[in-house]
Amino acid sequence: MFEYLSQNWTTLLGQLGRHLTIIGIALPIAMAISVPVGIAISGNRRVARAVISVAGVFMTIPSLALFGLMVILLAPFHAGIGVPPAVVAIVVYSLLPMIRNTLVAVQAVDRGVISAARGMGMKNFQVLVRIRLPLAIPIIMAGVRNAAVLGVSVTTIAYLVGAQGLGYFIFAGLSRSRFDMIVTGAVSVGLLGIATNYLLLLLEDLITPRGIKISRKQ
Amino acid sequence: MFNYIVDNFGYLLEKLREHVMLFLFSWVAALVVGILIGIVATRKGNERSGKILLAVTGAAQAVPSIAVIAIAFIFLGIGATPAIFALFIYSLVPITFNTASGLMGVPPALKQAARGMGMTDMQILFHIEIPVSLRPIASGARSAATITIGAATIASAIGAGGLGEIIFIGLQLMKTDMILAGALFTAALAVTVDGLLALVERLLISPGLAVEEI
Amino acid sequence: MSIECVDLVKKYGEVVAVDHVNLTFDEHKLSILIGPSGCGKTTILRMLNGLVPRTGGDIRYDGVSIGDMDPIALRRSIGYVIQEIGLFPHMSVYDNIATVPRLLKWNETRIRERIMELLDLVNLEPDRFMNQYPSQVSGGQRQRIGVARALAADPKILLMDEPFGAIDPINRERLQDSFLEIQRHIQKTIVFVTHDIREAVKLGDKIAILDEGKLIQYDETLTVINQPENEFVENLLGSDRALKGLELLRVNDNYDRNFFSFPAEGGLTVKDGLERLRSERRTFGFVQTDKRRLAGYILGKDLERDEKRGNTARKLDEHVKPIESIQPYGTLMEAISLMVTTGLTSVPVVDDRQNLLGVIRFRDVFERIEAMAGTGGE
Repeated sequence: MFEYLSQNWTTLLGQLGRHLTIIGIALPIAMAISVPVGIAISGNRRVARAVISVAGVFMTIPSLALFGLMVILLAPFHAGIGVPPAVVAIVVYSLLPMIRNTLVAVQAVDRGVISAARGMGMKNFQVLVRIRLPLAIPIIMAGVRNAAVLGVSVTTIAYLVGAQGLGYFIFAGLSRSRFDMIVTGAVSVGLLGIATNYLLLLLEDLITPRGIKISRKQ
Repeated sequence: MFNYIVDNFGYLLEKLREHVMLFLFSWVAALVVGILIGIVATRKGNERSGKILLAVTGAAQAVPSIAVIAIAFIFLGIGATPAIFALFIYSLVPITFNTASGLMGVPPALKQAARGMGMTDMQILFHIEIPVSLRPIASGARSAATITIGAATIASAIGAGGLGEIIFIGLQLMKTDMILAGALFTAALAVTVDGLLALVERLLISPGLAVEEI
Repeated sequence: MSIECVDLVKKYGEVVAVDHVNLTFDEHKLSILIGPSGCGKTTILRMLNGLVPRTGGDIRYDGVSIGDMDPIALRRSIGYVIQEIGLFPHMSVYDNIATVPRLLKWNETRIRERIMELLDLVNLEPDRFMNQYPSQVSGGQRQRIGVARALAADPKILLMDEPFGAIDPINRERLQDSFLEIQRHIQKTIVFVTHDIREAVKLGDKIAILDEGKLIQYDETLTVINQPENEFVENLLGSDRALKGLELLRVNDNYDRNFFSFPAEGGLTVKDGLERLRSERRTFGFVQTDKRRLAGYILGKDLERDEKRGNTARKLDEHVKPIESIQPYGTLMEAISLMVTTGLTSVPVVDDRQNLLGVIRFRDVFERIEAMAGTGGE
């Protein structure tokens, strides 16, 4: 198998690149939708619960089924194949974790803390920047991390709708019965998933304010 | 599309049945084994193994289902049985993780009070630890069900039988009605199972444990 | 049932947590284990029901060694309350309390009766609380439920580990008072761990003071207060320890039933008043209505002032001043407190209808303190 690896090193990197690109396009779009939505619905409990339920339902739909629907829906726009359905699918799956985490992040900031800040004479903008954001960002990051790991998985399947990516090794390998390809594919996506999770976890840890980390330990 | 469904109803039902089989065998087995492992790993004296288990299953949750399925197919061949095995392993991870972390999260004061009142270790496990950690266990089981149905879909696309096959062939032949039928049936199955489990969750969990969500 | 600790030892590796402790907890009494963190008090408590295995020595229940007993059966026969209480959140209040009776296989009717009884005992309306869940009741209520749960199977012994520690001071006072009431009714052998000396003095019949695993002093509460073994105990008791003793003594045993009083009616004059005061050699007198009710007091000094000005024909009534009183079950501490507030060295003792019973004087209290310090209490 290592023979295959050394011979196709560049292909591997290339597909890895496309894999990451797809995720890299999808995540910012997902955030751009989820964060404002999360903030918008944070005021109303019932609306929040309804939105979360809907996003939850989307998440239950198996990725292949979602791809199937995407292909059909996006076909009129000539976007039914390749990167677009993959991106859309990742965005759809990211909605639940990201919106829910944004909600939690917004609501997590204690009213008392905000009152204290305002009482000290902070303007709304300063409250936002100095208090809300530092406290909210780690929580939102957790949602992004969740979505990213999902993204790795979804993108692998997206090969079936023409998006390229590491799924190539698995599916092409399966159809040609080439074990070395399949193993390369399986191991690389497995490692990518674990690595993505771990690295983003580290990032999350870095941006969590020290005081929060200490109070969590208590 | 409706024509397709009507014309091929028998075929669809057969695939649905296969899909459900893939899901049930693997998920139920994973529930039994996962909960058992979770319990064993959290017993007194197993603290180190418990922590290792948590770390491993925590990281392993990031592995895409296709990877597990592909490896299983390499070693066990293609078909329903290898798929069930792969799905079993795949759903074992979140179930074990949630069981272990749920049990670890039971407040020590509860266990101490129970011991002090004269409960045996078995009684504490069944009357206190498990009921109190039912929420994380149930939610782990439920999300495992969802991802297992999803993984089953992928497995079926590559030869395990099941609804994914319909979608896959439909994609290859660019037959919209097939794709739609397959996708809708799969989605319907997933949503229904999730809904049922949500109901079961609500029924099982003691009202005393109800925590306001969101 | 009495509990005996015989040369009790507990070691964790090299660390000696309990160092050859010898103690007997008397039947029907509330014994306190107190000391700074790490002194071993909680360890001893946990050895009593076998949650912590002992390294050396023995624990005997009415003479029977704990080593000869089944630990599970032992625990089911002892009530156990911990600081966090540990109410099972997934069970209703009813089910929580029913835990041990069910383990002992009581029949449900008996259990139901018992639970109603217990909730009543801890002052929680049964119908209201039976079906609630722990998350729905307040902290103080949870503590009471915890006590009820411990008493459910009517154990002869109650082990309590800082049960009121996590409650705010106001509710803690209330809980302690309630608990004293409960103990009056149930008369159990209780071993109570606390780090709060005020709680210890208030609740304990006997106090055991521990430091670094060793027993420093074990005596009746009053004796410990008046005859602390060493500086450590003195510090533990606090610089106001003498006053703490006063909180335990009642006016009832210490007042003088002889007193001097003027009748409120009868139109006595200053001259009459002075005559009477002087013949009795008193500096003041109480004023009573003909129904024995306390109406106030009159100072000899005021009368003398009138005498100097030649107003001896003036009515005595005009000099009557109102006065604070105390009832027999009040503590000596309250009596002293009143004396300080009013500036008088005597306080009238009355019953609940304000009928004058006697008087308690500062010197009576002082003599009592001296007596205690000398003979070590009763």
